[in-house]
Amino acid sequence: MTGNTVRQAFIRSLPVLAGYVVLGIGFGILLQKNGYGVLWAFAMSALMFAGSMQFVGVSLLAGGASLLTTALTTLMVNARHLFYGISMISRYRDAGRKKPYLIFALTDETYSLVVDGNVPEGCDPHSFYFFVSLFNHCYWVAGGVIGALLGQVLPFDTAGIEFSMTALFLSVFTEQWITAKNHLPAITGVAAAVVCLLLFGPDRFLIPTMLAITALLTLLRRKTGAEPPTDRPDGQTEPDGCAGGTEQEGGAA
Amino acid sequence: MLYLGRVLPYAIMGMLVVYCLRETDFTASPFGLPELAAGAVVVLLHVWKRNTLVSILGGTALYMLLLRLCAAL
Repeated sequence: MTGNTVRQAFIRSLPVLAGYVVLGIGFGILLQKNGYGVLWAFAMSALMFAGSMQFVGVSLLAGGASLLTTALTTLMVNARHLFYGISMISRYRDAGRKKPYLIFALTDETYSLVVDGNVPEGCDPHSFYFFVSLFNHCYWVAGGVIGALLGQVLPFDTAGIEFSMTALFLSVFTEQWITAKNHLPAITGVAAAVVCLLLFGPDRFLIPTMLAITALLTLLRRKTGAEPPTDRPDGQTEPDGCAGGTEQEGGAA
Repeated sequence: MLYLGRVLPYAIMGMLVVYCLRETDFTASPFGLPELAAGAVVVLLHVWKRNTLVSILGGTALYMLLLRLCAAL
């Protein structure tokens, strides 16, 4: 029964509703503040559906970033979605016509709702995943549009609202730090960014930073403890377990 | 490739934080203090509540408040 599947999917998606609407509003306001209206909010949220990357997108748009910078930045920022796709390969395999949309809509939040593969009784799995994705998508678009509209009529001065983007990334960074066993990748990211910022200036440092990060992480492979569990249980055999190497020392501001 | 996918998120998030603060002038008034203070609040709130929305709302509110305070001073 499709009606039941839709209802179950709605229930499953509820935890994401608040988050996506509030965050979407933040995005919409930020976008509007930069001179892009409701149509932009709708189009970006509907066609990109990229959460935090859309926040970065506002900066890129406002700053007139090149297509190359935009493409590379999107690739690096959203690289984690690679894993979501891999995790869902078997579950999405026979989804037929729904598959492209399912892949498109696999954001952090959607992933968190579908990853356990738990589908309520009586629901067709692929339809269920489809509607969960669709509801999330709608919440996100709604938030963005509402934010863009609000941005025009808010009675108080919204100076400083762009900090919501910094706050978003900081809180995700903190969450990652808390749950990570090895902080070397995080430190590498910050250090590489600061050094490149100083060397290349605020408008040009993203690409060098991403190249540096890729190179450094590849070189430091053994020390990041990110090898698959079958190789070694905790990824570390060196007694010091700490980040060695001179790459980070010069970078911290 | 899979290895990079595993470690990149941490590095990229660090890069993004720096990206957000790239135009902050720490050498002239207000010396990036609103950013530092609000940033600290975001981190502390998050360690306390582990809730992204709470951290964002709290930090952003403080930042907007501090901006106005600094302008008035």
